[in-house]
Amino acid sequence: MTTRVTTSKKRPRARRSYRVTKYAIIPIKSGRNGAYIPSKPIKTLRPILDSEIA
Amino acid sequence: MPSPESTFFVDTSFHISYCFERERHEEARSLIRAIRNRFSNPTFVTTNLIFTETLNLIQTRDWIAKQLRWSTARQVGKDIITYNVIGIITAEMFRLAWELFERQEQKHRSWSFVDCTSFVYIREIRKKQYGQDRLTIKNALAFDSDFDEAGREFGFQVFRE
Repeated sequence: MTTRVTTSKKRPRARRSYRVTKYAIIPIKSGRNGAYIPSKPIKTLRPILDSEIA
Repeated sequence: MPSPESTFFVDTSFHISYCFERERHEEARSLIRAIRNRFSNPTFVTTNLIFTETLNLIQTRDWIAKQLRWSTARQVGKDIITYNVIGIITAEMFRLAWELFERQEQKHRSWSFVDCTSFVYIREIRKKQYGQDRLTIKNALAFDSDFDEAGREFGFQVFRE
């Protein structure tokens, strides 16, 4: 009987942009000088246009 | 803990308006501009139920092509997770929201259940029992009249320019 051994390549885990606490999921502060300022609730610089999604 | 004045609760109606041209996008954008002018480090808070409701709404909109609904929902969801504190509706908050929802008839109003969870969350998350996740939220970003009605009772106001 032969045992087939497969070597799996571990995919690097994507860096999460949030951390999880008991009562919340919180954005990780990062960016320049470690001072990430979430100055808007959505980063989208422009709205999603009808023509893009129709 | 962020200052109460610069902590903004974000409702589904606002997330949708801020994302889509066809909704009240200009109004939403102008409110964010006003916040950025006034506060250097605002905090935006939403809940796991609002997150769910927003993505569900996107995935069921007729005006978004069927094959693009999932990717659009993913894009918006990723933004919300990256830029907002997502508060978790606890079992106790859920219970209180259900009681509030059930009392709607005698108060002659018809707030949605998700709105009820949001109002309860804003009131409850101030309490000491939530430790480091405690927040005092004084402002809400919403285009939903339920928020105008509930503000006084739950200790917040809908942010206007």
